[in-house]
Amino acid sequence: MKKVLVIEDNRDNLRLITYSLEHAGYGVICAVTGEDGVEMAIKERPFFIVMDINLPGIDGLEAIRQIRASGADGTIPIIAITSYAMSGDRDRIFAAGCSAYFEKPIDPLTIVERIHEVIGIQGR
Amino acid sequence: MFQLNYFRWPEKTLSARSSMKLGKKILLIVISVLFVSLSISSAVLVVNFKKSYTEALLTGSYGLGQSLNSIVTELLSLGLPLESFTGMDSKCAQLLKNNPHITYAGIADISGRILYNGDSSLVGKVMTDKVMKTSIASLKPITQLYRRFDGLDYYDVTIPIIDAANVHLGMIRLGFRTTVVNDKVFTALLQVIINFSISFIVIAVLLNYFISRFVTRPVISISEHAKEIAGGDYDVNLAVTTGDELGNLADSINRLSCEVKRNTCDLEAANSELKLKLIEREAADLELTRYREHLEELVEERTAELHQRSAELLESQQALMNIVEDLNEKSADLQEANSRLQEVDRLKSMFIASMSHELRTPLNSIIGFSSILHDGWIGPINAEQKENLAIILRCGKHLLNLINDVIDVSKVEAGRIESVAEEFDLQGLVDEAVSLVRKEADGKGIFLRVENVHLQMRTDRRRLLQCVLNLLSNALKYTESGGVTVTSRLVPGAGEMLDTMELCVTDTGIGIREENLPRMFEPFVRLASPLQSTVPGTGLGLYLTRKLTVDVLKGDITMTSEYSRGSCFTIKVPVRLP
Repeated sequence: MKKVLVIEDNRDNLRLITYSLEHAGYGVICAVTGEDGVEMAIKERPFFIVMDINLPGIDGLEAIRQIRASGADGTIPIIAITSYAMSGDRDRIFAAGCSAYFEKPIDPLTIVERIHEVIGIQGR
Repeated sequence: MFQLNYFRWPEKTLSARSSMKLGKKILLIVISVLFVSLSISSAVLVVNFKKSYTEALLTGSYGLGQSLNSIVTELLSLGLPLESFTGMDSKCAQLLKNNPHITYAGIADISGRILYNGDSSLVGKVMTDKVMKTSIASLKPITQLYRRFDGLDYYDVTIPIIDAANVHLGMIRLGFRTTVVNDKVFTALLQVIINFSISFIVIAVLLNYFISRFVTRPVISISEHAKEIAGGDYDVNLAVTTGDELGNLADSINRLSCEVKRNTCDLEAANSELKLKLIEREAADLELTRYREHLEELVEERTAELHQRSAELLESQQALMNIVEDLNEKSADLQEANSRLQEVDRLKSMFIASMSHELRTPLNSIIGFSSILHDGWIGPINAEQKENLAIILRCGKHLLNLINDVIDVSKVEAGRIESVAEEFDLQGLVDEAVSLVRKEADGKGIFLRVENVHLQMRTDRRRLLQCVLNLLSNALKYTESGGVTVTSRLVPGAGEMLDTMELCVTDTGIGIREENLPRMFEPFVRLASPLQSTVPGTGLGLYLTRKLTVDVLKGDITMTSEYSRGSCFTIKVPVRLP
């Protein structure tokens, strides 16, 4: 079972995304702050990371930068989840080292399919 | 009123100068000049006569003296002493006898003693008077004025006697009375006066005649005739034929007379004409006076009216000024209200924007969890549960759309949506939009067709997608049979116009009545229709689409529709966002 990391401070959202990923057969590990997320990403080396950009402590962009800078694994796909109003930050998000970004709301029925599209995995 | 006073002769002008007749004046002047000139010339004549007569007498006396002297010189050359001549006294006496105007003649030696004399009683006397002294001193013949011992005045001639040895021995003296000259001069003067008087009288008489003949009489004649002309008798003809200036004057007066006669006739005619005109004019004056009085009344009336109007205007102006003042106040109030409203509007937009996150986060959870429950991820559910979960899901999605639309509208209205341009293919955008509504079309059993719409664009893809999606879902909502077609074309820009992309979404739905067309793009408008109760909608979709097309994509949206036949919405936006 492949491990994936979800970094999300909203517990409801975290739970929903976790349902989706587990439904697709992934083992989900979670973090609710940017600092924890960075630490877990380096330590656990997940298959991919889904993270909210709006986080307490260091924000998502800073977390992505730290993960990329750690050198642990620069190729881990990172999918950012942004709030609806942050569409203008697209360039900044990609510049930080993000692989793709999805806007809220998240449709739990299709999100995994969309992640697979981005990271190049055909349906499983 | 009219006086012909320029015809009056100024009579007093001439008589005021002098009462003397012209002839007498000329005579007086001529005689005066004649008298003065004759008197001066006579006086000069007499003086000259006296001078030359005296000189002639003196010359004669010198001659006599010299003749005596030649005798004396001859006797001296014979060796005889001066004092011993014989017969000299008789010689002197003879000289006096031959020349009666000579009073005395004698010879004296150098001491002044008389040696010989015509009057023998004087011989031997020594003369010591001043004249004798001068005579003794002179070596040349001289003339002196001499008051003799007898108390009478004489012209004295002295001739010095000088011998061959050039010794001054004495002198010959002879003299004549000054009265001799004066008597002669008086006689001459008397003659001159007589001649002068005679010629004077003759000249005066002649002059008087000629002046009278050639000046006075013609002038009097002209004067008389002029008086007659002045008196009104223009038929007089002057007969002065002297041929000189007076003749010319007479001719001129004759011509003047004729001219005056003619002019007088003309003037009389003119005068009578003038009198006629005068009468006419007086009548006209009278008329004018009457008219003027009327006019004055009229003017007074009008002036009063004008004053009234002016007062009214002033009142109106005051009222207007009050209104303007009022308006200014109101305007200021309005400006203040406006700025307050703008502030309120900004606060509203801010409120809505910040609310969006708070509203959507729980809504996302409602939708997300109900959808996984509905799909049986958590565990099996029965049909009734599934139906209820579907209602929750549908209402949640509708609420989310509503919130999203409201937020977008408020953002657009607040001018807070900034366009983000990116390169993309229109085909991909349309395919994405179609894929999102494909399920709905398939569910209703209607077709959803996309014609080839490949076009490379650079604009705000996200907002264009939103617009296309809105039009598509609108079209699907109101179409029960037939289907929806998406077409597009490129309209090349002309001149400064940009290339434009036109995208049409055509449906075969219920259409829109013509009277409702203008309201289509207004917010919260949902037309009454059989489908209204079953078709979900916020009433903001078309309004937002138009806002996005115009304000963000810098384009335009139009629509055509036929009731119960279908509608066509067309978005026109620049291919490349300026």
